[in-house]
Amino acid sequence: MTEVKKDDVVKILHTYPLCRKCDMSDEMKQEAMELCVTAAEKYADNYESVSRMIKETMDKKFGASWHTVVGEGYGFEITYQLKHLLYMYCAGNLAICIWKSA
Amino acid sequence: MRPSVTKRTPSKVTELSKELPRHISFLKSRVDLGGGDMDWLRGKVFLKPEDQLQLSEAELQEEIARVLTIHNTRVPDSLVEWSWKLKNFILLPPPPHLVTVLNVPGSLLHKDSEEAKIQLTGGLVVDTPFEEAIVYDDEEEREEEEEEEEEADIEEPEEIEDHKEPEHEHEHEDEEEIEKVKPKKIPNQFNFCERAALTYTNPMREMSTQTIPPPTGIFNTHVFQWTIFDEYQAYFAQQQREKEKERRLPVLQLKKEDVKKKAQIESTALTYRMLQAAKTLERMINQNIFDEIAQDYRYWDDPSDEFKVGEGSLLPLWKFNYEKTKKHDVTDLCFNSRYYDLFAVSYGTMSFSNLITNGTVCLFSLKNPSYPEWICPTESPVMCLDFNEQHPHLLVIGTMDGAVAVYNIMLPPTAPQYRSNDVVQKHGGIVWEIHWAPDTEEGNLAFYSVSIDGKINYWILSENDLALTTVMTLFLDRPPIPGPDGTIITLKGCGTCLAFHPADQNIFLVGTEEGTIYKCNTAYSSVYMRTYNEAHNMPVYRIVFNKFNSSIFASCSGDWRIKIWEDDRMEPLFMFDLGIPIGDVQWAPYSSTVLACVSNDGKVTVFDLNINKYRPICSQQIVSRKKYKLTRLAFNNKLPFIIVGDDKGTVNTLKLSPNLRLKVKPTKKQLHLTHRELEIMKLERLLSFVREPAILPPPKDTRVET
Repeated sequence: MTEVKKDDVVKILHTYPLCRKCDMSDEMKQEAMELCVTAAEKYADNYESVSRMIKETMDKKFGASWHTVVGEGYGFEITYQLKHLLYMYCAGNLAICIWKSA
Repeated sequence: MRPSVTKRTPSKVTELSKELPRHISFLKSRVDLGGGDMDWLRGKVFLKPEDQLQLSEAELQEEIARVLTIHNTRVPDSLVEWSWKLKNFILLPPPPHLVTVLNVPGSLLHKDSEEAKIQLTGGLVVDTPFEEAIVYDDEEEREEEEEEEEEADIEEPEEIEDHKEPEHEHEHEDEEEIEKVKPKKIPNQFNFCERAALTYTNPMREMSTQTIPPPTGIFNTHVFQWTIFDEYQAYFAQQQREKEKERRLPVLQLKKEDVKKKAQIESTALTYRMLQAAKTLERMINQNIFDEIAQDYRYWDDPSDEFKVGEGSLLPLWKFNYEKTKKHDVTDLCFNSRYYDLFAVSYGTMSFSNLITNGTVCLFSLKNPSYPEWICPTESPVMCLDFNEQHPHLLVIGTMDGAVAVYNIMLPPTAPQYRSNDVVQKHGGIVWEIHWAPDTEEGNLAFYSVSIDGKINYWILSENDLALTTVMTLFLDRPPIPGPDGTIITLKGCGTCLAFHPADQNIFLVGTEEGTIYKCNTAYSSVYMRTYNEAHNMPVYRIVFNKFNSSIFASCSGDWRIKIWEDDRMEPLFMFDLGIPIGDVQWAPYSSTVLACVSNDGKVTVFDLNINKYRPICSQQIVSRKKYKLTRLAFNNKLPFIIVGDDKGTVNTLKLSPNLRLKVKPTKKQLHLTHRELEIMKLERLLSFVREPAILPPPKDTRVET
């Protein structure tokens, strides 16, 4: 019985974006999250392309000097401009951090 | 104009030799100057250059004359120019000796000069010949202005300067005038002033802005696959929990509606104030329109009463009606206990062939006879109403469909405060009379109602709804009759009126359509305390207790009669037959022996038993006999007037003449007694005449011994 239960738990696969930390305005947040999901889906096999796409689009939309980290496991400490940080999980195994720092 | 010291031309070679002796002589003269006084400098030796020309004394003493010529050595003496015309150099004339470096025209004039003279005499220079005429006019003014001009001396130099040139042209023309004018003062170093203004120079400022860099924050974390997984799990679990809480969301939406309601309440508060103002204005207008009636209402007494002993009259005052209830019958009237000029009128219908299916309750004030203060339309014709004594804002009504409702008249008449349930809590027929009962022990309000279904119900106003107790069912004292399919039905009397004993709140009287009056007690729901069989031959319309003696009550009926009863006495004390059905009878609040009734022929009849035991003291036609019937009547508790309602929705106000409201005059012995005691005594005295002893005591047997 316990084994069956365990299987049930494992079966749930979460692929939706999950925002972990964000201090953006609602509008910006929504746009940024959509962008991250689109990028992660578009370049599912190349994280560098994902981050490039996110960075370049964000630069275009919200002004220069955005930085993006995309990866499955990493640690970091960043200095960011307030109201311009988004740290989210995406597609179940990706952690994406984007921030602005001029 | 530079005077050249020597002729110096490049062609003259001997110049230097000529000049040298001059230098020497100059030096020598310097030495000579020092002469005898310079003995202390004797040791001094002049340093001489090696190549200095050595001259003898004689040579040094030689005088060399200096000649100044106008010949300028700097000026080229033979300037030539190539002439293309002549194909030859031609000699140019020597350049002039005069070079103008700076030309500043002076503003000063010598006072002996021609111009100065003109100006001194005050000659004004005119620029154009056109203005000459003006100059003439100015001449006269100028004399007057002399003094001013002295003060304005500084301006003079400017004028002089400005007009210097033109003046020459007009010199001769002006001469004649100039001679006439006095000489002017000339500014000099003692008589001179200069005026100037130094303006404020704004200091220079430097403006600059230093911006604060946008605020930054530091964020650090680390992420692994398993942390991502854990976070997703935790989030999913939280989502599940929130789904369970979603039931509370509708509650939140309700709160939004509350906000809307609040806004509505605020707007109604504003319109309420407007209404108050409009109401005041309406009353003022009505007071003006009905001013005569208002005067009569308070101050007019029929003067003929003094000469008519035992007779009185009624003075009609205002008529109250409401446009929408013109076809309704006035089914009940009740004065408010707090505001003596406020009364409630219920509109329903008395005849059951009538097609009217709705009713209205209106509150009228004597201050506004033209329109009701408060209008409450109801679904069913209203048959009775009553104001609460202690809570004058509460009004209870009974309707034709057997329902009862309590209204708070301070609120807009949209919905009743309490309303009986249409299915389980209601009477089976018309509610004919309704009365507030004393508050219950728990402090709840309560009232009684009597209905045509033969039940007397006791209603308690609890927090949210009405609680119902049936106090009495009026079973007839007849054997049960067989029903439609084998059932047996006990016949019930149809209650039409109800009166509570003023002293003992448990005891009440019920009149029925059969003409029987039952004396009942709320404590026993199945037994009558007394039955007045055949009290009337037709339905009893009203039973009222005397306001002073609670054992006396009057009843009126459709059998044309008014009967006055005493408790515990099966036969009435008085009986009046008016020859017409009597709709309502009421005891006067001010006298123990006065009662008034309304009859179907449109008459109001007033009795005073103390004055006439057999005939009314007043019987007056109020409305047209053919068109109208009078239905109900009410005495005002404070002022001597009555209101009567008719079957066309009109309420008439009638003032009682002095003879109808006679009060007992206390004799000298009775001065200490109150009005109430006097009234009771009056009634008692009257009753003693009409009472027949219940049992005649047989004379005592006495043994006669012979």
